[in-house]
Amino acid sequence: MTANTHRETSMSTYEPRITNAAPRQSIAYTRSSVIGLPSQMSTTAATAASLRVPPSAASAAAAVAVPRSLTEELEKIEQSITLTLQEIDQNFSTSHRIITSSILPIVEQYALQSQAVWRSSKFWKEFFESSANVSLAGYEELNNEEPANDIEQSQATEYSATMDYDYSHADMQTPRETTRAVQEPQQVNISVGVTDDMDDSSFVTYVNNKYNHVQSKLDEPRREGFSKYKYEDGEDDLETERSIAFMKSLHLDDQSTPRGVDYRSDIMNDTGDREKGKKTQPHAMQWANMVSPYEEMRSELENRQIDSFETSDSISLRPDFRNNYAKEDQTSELSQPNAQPQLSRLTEARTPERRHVNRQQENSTSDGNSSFVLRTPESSPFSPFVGSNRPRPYGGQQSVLLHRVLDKKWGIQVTPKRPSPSKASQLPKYGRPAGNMATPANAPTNYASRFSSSPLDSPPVPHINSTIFSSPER
Amino acid sequence: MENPHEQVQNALLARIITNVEKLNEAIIVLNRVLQDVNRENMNVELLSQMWENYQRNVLFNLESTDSLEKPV
Repeated sequence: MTANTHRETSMSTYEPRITNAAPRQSIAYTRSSVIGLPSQMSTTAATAASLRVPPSAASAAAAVAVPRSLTEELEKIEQSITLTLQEIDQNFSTSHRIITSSILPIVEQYALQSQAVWRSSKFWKEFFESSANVSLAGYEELNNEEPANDIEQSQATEYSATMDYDYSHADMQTPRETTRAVQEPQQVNISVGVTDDMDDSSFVTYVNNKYNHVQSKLDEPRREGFSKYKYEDGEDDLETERSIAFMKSLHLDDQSTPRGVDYRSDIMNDTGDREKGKKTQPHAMQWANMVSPYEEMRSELENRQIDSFETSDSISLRPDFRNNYAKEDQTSELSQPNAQPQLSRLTEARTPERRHVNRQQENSTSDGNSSFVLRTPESSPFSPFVGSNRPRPYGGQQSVLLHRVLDKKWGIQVTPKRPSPSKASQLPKYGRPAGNMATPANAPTNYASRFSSSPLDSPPVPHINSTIFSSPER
Repeated sequence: MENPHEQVQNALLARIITNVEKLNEAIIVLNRVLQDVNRENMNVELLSQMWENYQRNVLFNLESTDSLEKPV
């Protein structure tokens, strides 16, 4: 019924045309005649008619013109609609043609060139990976929509490695690298950083372990620590035992033993008191309960981070120096740029003094819950966005993503390389066989061989004269 | 009687729909290619960040000691 009525109405609408029985040309002709446009047939007649038109005829013509104008208007509108649709069709086809013909090939060429660029630069990524002894597994998309708690649980591995090459020392140039574990208790994040400061005659090796915290005493003079570490009595068997103990302590499979090894005096005191001349047995290290300034800063950052994290629903990578310490929560956030300068100031204040990074031990015995962060000054190729123009998705938060592409946030997944336990000659900190290290041809001392940090292309470790530390004084 | 305008417009709309579908597929392909390119470029971006940090570290270390920087 409705269709019929609609059809009838439509019919009625177009009835004038039908009843008019005039094709478009005729309509146009008629329209032109009414409007006054020149036409072939009635030019003279029109002029004659215009001269002789009586008022009644003019009024009649006007009366006839009114409905015709409506029709004509309708016709005009219909034609304009048709024309517009044609233009729309043309535009769409043009855009499709442009995209298919020119844009896609150019983008494909860009992709090829980008692949070539990556192939060329891949070496340096492997270089950084090897120096940090980690493997950058790729990018993991950070889900925006998950709530913070879910993010903490679901985000598996976000990890960032930092490297700091200290070339300021003329004599001892060893890379100082730190890695910071971010998440996942299942993932073992181990990184060893070595700060070799021969000017201070101290050499500290610190191990980052996710499950252990190692606290170093900044107040202790390095020389003492070094001397204490150095086996002055020259007992090779004890030194070997210590080295073996250290190696074992760094065994990745064994997570029940403390991994942090600090060769400062506290370790010496804890590990059987080398001074006492006893044969030391590797046992659980006891750490002094000191609140280091670093720890204070970390706690401050954590508080700030917690406050910001609660308000945010995004995930981001946590900066190395902020993260991981005790957090079983697997979240990671990148520090805000606001926080970065503060931390940078702190870190830079430490760097010239070559203070060791404070390490705080939460569990002397790893229970799988403690996390460990070794933070170096923000000298890290992996520390993101310090001073960089990274987009800040959330203004109030302290997190900056590693990569943000449109609506996706990407974090990098870093897994440390597991050192081979069978290789006893490996340096503990890098888990790298000695053969891979750029050590000098002259045989270094045990101390140097054990703690010389040499990535593939680091400067060779200078020979250390062990006789210096053979003095009986402690 | 069918409206002739309507017929023409319907035909035009059909063409438009066809063109839009093809355009949509082309844009999807373009988006995928760009996504791939961007994903592969993230590694390069990461590397650039590493070098940036390294340069900053070296600069800081040199400045903290006897810096050798004297621009030519």
